[in-house]
Amino acid sequence: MALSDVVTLGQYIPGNSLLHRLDPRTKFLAAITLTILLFFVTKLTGYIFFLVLFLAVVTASGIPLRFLLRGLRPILFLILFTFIVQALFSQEGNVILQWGFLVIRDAGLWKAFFMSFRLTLLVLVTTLLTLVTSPIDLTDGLDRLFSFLHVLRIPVHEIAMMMTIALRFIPTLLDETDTIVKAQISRGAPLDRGNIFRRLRGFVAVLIPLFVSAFRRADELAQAMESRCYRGGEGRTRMRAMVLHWTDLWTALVALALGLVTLAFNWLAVP
Amino acid sequence: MRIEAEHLTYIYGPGLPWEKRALDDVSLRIEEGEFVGLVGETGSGKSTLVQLLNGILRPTSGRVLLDGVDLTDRRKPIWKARLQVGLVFQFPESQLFAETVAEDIAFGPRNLGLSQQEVSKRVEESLLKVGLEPALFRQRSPFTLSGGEKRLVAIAGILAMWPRVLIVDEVTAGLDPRGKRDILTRIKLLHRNERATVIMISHDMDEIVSLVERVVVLKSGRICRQGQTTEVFSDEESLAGCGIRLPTIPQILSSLVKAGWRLPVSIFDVREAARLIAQEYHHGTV
Amino acid sequence: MTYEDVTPKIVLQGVSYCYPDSTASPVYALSSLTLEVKAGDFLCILGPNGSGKSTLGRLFNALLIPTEGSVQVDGMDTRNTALLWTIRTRVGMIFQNPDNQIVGTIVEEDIAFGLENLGIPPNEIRARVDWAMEKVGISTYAKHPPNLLSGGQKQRVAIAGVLAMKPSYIVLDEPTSLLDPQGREEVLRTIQELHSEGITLILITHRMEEAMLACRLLVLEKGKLAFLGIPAQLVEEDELRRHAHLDLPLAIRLAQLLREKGIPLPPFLPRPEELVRTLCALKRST
Repeated sequence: MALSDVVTLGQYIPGNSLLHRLDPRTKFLAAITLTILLFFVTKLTGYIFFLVLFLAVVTASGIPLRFLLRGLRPILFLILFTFIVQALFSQEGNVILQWGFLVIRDAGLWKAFFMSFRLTLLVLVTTLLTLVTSPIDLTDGLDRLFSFLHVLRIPVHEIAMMMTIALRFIPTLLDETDTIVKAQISRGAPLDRGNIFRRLRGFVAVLIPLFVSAFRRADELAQAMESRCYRGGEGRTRMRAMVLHWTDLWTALVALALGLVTLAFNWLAVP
Repeated sequence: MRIEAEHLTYIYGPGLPWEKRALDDVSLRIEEGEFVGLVGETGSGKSTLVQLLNGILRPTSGRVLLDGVDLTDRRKPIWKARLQVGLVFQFPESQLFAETVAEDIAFGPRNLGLSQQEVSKRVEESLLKVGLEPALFRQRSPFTLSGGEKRLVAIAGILAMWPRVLIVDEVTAGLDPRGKRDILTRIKLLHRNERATVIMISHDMDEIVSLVERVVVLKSGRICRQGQTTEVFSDEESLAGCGIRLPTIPQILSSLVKAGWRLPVSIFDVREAARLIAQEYHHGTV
Repeated sequence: MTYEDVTPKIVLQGVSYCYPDSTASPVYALSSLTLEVKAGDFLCILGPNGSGKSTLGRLFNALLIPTEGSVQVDGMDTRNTALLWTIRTRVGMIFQNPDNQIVGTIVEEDIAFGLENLGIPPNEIRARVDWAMEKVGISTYAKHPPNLLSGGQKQRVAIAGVLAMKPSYIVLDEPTSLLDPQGREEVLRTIQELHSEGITLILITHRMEEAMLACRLLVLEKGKLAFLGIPAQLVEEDELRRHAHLDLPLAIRLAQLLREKGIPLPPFLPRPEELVRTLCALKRST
């Protein structure tokens, strides 16, 4: 299996849904709102409402849920770990299970559930944002959204350019890693067998060529950019003007309203 | 070593939006000591096929047999078995990583668990096989070599594992004429002197006909044509159907034949072609 | 004097280039080269790896500044940093690896990159991007991410990116060496079209077949000019070609042999099709 099959974060899926068409700035702010909201929600009803809301957004995006969920695979371990730690070490609530020194309490179980739920949705929201926004739109949006930081001597344009280039080279470098891994396994590299130390030794044989190649690429790219008159953000124009549409305003208002409703659900209801 | 591929099918990203059937029911048999060319358009499945033959990819269905041993059998530890098929990837110099040429070539043999003495012996021997003088190259950093030399070192790294089959994927791509010629000469010698079974992937038909005895043509993951080189490269139309063009000399001969000249098409040697064309020119009737 | 008064051409006057190195004895990548590339020329630079081809290419657009001597583009000295961006707008550069020169994550965004750097107004950028995509035939992929394109398509994206800046000269550093035959053909066809529309080309290559398409050839050997003349002349220079490892394309070699056998072919037929056509015409007239 190729590496790019596993990593969904940062992979844009072209489409023409409402979500695809929104201004990246709106999407970015909406995603931030959702994320912040997630930290305010503490009750079951709030979570349920949030989940329903999120599923509605996913449906509107036209991205298959199955595909979105694949994005969780790399961090499944982290989610599981959070759950277990929360479940085992919480000191609140009544004991429901005891086995040796391991104690599981009901409140702890709830908390563990909420925590992993929060983490899961956090990743899903971010993944969804990158799936419906082309990397260039996203970095462009961030560039413009934060350009006021320029006055504070923060190199916003340069950071955005670095992000664009990083995103541009992710698929290239994933493919390259894939090839180098295969090539070294073909030389008997213990990447897929033996104990951890043997495997680590094998990884050196992958990392060094990967770094060598990345530096060579960086060097060539720098030459190509210079040849095309790149000299930083000063005096640069953009082909695409970013215009906020009415839909953006509506989306922002709806997002705000829904945020308030979620909070209301959370506070009004009893867990 | 005999390689048999039985009904090999390979699907990339099954169930994903970009699912792709890279190889579709390919059966193939390559005998000990053969020199086989594997050709086809980009994306026809050549690289996938050779990666299945050396076991680095597992087929979605079908089997690969090395001298009758099933490489796809999940119940057996096969990593040593598959190392008998040495695969030189495209741009193999990109896998060089050690501080010296000798260390890099030693990587494979060490992974096989060989003694230090045996490893050094194989390093020397492999350098000689690719035509690099051990005394001059052993201690150099692979990153200071020329493009052609780097590639030879990478090939030596595979040869040091004593593979019984050598597969080379676009081994001359991006090299200058001299680097190209050095590498092709070495591969020809390996085949002739060591009786190595060699499978060569190439886009350059002139290169293919100057070396191989038998050709397998892939198109869209299926075998489109296969047979003796002279036989496969004698029919322009059916080759075009496989997305392959004739090599330079047969192309010229074929055009002349279409214009009414009486000439054979599958002649690869330029002198022989000149002799036949001159003969037909001076004595033939059109 | 204004720059417009000068006849458009690139002039290299006694150019040497020495890579900054810590070692005591400097190694010259190029030594005392004098050359003139007039507007409308199609100059091909040949030579083995390490002969200084790429160094020379990078001197044309001020990526490198000569250690000795001067390079003037339409009268502008590349040492004058105030003229740097004007020079680079006038002399476009295409590199070997298409992957490492595409900046944008979408085709049209990449083509706009150079124009954005020049501070051109958005609507004009849009118009020029569309024009450049049309010109090299990639309009259908405007919204594609570049990593999904074939090598030939990627290289044409790179060419469109340079073309959009409306350069007078384009320097191409081995633009086809990493491509398959189809990609190579796409790129060659594209650049020949550009030449026929008045863009001056400087093509660096290993391949004699490509060199034969040029108006003039320059052969470099160890940083020194070994040959400068028309392709037909190089065909005659057996000694030089052997030295520089420049094998004649098979079709030209065949024509040479046929002449030896008494067929009155003209001395230089760069393409196989021309050889066939001429042979048929001669045969009919006998």
